[in-house]
Amino acid sequence: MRRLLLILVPCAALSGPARAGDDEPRDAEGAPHAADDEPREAPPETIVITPRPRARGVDDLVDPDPEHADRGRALGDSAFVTVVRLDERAGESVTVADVLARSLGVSVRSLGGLGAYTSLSVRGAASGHTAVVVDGVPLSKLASATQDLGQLELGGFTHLELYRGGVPAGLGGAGLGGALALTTVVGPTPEGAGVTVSSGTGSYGARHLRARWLGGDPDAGFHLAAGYRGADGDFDYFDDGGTPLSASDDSVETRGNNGYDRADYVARGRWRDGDGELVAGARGTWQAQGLPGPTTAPAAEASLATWQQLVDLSLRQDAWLGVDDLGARAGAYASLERQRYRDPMSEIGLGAQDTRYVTAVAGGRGGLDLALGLHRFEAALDARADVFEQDDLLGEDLADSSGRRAQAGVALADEIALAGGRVAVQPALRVELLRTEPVSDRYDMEASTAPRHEAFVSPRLSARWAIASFVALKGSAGRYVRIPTLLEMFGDRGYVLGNPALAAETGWAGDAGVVIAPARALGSIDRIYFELAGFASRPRDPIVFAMQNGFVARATNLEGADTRGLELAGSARVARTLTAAAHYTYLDARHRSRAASLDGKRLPHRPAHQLYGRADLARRVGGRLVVLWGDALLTSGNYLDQANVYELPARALFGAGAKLEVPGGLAVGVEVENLGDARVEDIELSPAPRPDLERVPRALSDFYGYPLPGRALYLTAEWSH
Amino acid sequence: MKQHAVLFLSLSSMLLFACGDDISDGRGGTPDAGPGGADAGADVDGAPGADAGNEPGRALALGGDYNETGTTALVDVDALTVELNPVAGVVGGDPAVRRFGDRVVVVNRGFGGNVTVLDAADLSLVAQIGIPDNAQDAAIVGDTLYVAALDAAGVHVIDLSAAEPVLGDTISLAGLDDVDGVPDCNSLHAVGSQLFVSCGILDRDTFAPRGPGAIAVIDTGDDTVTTDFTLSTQNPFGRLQPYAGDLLVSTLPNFADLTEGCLERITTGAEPGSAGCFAQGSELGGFAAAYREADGELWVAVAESFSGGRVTRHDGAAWSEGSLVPAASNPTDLAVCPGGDVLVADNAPDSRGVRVLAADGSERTGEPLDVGWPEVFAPVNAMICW
Repeated sequence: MRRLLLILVPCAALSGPARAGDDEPRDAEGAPHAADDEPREAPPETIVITPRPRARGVDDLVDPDPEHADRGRALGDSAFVTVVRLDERAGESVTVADVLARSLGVSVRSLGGLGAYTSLSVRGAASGHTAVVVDGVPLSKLASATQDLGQLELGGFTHLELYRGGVPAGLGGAGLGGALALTTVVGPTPEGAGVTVSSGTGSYGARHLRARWLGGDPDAGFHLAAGYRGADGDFDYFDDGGTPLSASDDSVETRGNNGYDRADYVARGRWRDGDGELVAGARGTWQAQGLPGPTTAPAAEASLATWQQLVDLSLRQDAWLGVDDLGARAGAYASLERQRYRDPMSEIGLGAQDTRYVTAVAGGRGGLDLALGLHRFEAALDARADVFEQDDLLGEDLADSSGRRAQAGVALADEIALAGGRVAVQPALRVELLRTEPVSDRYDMEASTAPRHEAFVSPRLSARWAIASFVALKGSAGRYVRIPTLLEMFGDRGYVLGNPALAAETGWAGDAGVVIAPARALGSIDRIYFELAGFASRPRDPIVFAMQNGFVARATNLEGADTRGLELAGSARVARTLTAAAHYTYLDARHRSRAASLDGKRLPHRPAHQLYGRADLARRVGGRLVVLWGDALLTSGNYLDQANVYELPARALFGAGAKLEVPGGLAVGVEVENLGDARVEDIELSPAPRPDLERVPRALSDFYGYPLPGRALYLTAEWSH
Repeated sequence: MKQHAVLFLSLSSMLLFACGDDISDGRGGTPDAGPGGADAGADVDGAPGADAGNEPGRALALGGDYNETGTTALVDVDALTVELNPVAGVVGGDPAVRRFGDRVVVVNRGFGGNVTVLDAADLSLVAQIGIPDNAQDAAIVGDTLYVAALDAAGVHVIDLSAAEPVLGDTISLAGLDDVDGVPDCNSLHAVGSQLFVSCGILDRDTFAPRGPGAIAVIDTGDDTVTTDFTLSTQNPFGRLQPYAGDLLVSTLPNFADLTEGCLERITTGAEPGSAGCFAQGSELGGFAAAYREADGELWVAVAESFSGGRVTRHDGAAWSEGSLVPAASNPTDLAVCPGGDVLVADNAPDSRGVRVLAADGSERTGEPLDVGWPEVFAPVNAMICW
């Protein structure tokens, strides 16, 4: 008892009038709650919400608010979520991949260069396991499970939320790799700075120009934005000439056909009327990029052009039917993506290709939530239809194919408040039904042509225990599923064989941890935040492609893997001047295999240790904000292969930058990435093929043959009014 | 979507790189080894011929993931034990292997982009030469290394006696393909001073055969083309291998029908030419993925589908019934050891590894030997035994 008191006393000293630390509370679809700008009636178990004005963007670094921005959410939500407010990165040339690469529990791999294909691995899961949700709309996984982060224009969003473990039902419910939600704030900011124009230029031809207008009033707001971003990607790289064991032909070459141009627009509006709210929006992106191919066989003419269009509409009505505690929501969306891949000189693929890919999606969703005593019930229903078509524009019959999938899901959840609200338990269940129509595969004599019907049940249990006003224990466990894509099930009528018998990849995953986030300062130190989480998963029937007799590839189920790890994050601010944040991820992801040579070996490209730190030094000098920042990303060695024969060395990448407010609403920023200009790393060879060849150099890269750029400088100017 | 495109590109590339993945061990006759007569300098993998000596031998089993890394394993065929990773860094994601006397040649196809020469005694590095146009196969005559590359207009010549061997001249075979000048050559075999080269004559846009495959014959004395002739069938997809003094090559005109091609016979000597099909694909029940002569018999690994097949042998008069490996196997490569044992690369997901069969066809291994082949992409199964 005495020990308990000793704990509670400092707890009381540290705790203050808590608030919703997330300054943009959102519903499951990612849309702002109706109560964004007004006090919410707090459930008895949650932190008391007392909204107060807080500076946004870079100004938040020197705002007097002593709480960490995520305090309320981190303490009040059972999920482990990384939140990035993109306005706080103003004056920096960040991409979705940049942001995620420096996030807790995340490993990002890139083909190299701005705008290049980039994949995401969360907590060791394969990239296809992370759902990507844009303004509440889940992107299609019919044609491909993996989302290319390089295609997402970060400037078109205001918030990035990465659910590292359990995924809310409204975000699709079940994915081993969590979910990435990108959202857009609609309406004016508290500061009233409605118009922002930003432009920049940097190394390797990087450039951007962007304008955004946040306007209207609390009842009718809008977000209009348009921008352009591009790069040449013509950086120098180390080339071993295809002979890693011979230095005689080593050279430094310049990457070619590695540029891109991207234009995008965002138009969203929000209307409120009493307890009702309507949000509607449209978003479009066009991108043309070169495909440089591997350095061993560079491609000069291959290209990929992408056009994406997304529209959505959502309605929310609180106090529905006159019942105060009953809320209703509904929404609909449609998206169209059209890509054209051209390889006229047969530089990348097998023969010349000119192929058009079209994916169209339409869907709707609806739900109810009802607070009843200690319970808060939620029911959600969603349905969507995906259509994929692939046309060979050269008129050959190799690549034409199409497929369709209809999908419906129902999710039920109940948040039960116990122990006077200090404990919240949320059982949830999602049931998903799918019908996928196959395409014929001319090479697969064994392929089925019958439609495929599937049903999946994904139960999940989450819990949170508020030990004190600034400490919460929380965790979740559940069953997850990754449904095979059209390509995996039915092939492409070319060189990928269908496998109609392919099982969905399923598994159990769970996490548990503690969050400490006091509301008050400790002397001159405030915004204290600490998070520790352990996680584990056991995928079953993971889906991979395997070559068949050297002719064609076919998706198949492997035995599985065991993954466990630890995440540790902390941040604080000293004297309202120095904000420091660091996080560390330990990952132990190992293969389960029938082959003794592979069983228990670490999964390739999954570093065991990753440490990131960043410090922002911010002061007002002469009334103008000046920010100096630096960061470091340290990654331990990891293996290139399943047998763990080839180990990549540890990698350290450093960055630094400065931002400065100047008169006239202008701010300028300068940053340097890869400060140490790391371009080459050594691979250890053991046993060495010759005594003098224990180590050989290779270009710094995430994918073989696709080097990463060296030191890069970027200048940004931003005007706000 | 882009991922789909990228995946498609990658897999297409893999197919390209993997063309001819039967990865023969190129056992050819030499003065001291195996059939083939006086084809001095040709590859010499453990033929149960003059050098057999009843030694079971050792085997090198390479694999790859069609990406960056390859696997290497040494198999003691007598003890049926495996040494994983006896040497690092010499094998890429898509390897093929041949042995020529005391030299082992690893052809790192596709992304690998090189030919690596090792000392057969201890697998130490002798030389590594960059090949920019998708090397597929190699042969050594004397101190000259010949390389067939899929995207080349001919056969590359490399002088191995140089202190630092580099890519040398190219013997042009562009005349074999008067449409694009790239005859899509993927296999070589030396018989005496004659170098036989098999070429697909494919459409560069679709990689579909435009007509019958072609064979060029090069005089290695002066590196000139002495003759060429067409095959009776399209797309010589397999490797040139010796059989009863002739050569065999398997053809695959249509990937959608694995029985459409045949195992075509090529006569050598003063007037080389096609001798027609030794066995039709329909007779075999599929594509001859690998074929080796062992003690006068022809062993064939037949791909009946993209995921399964059988091993059969021809005793000069008829094919054996059934399969010499279990029904669930997926045999993709063969290697013959000096003592007469035959190694079978089994690619079946549940039994991936090397099976060792005695000369009488009985299996010495209960389960395939685990040689570390990756699961992500089935290995290329490059094996030699000596």
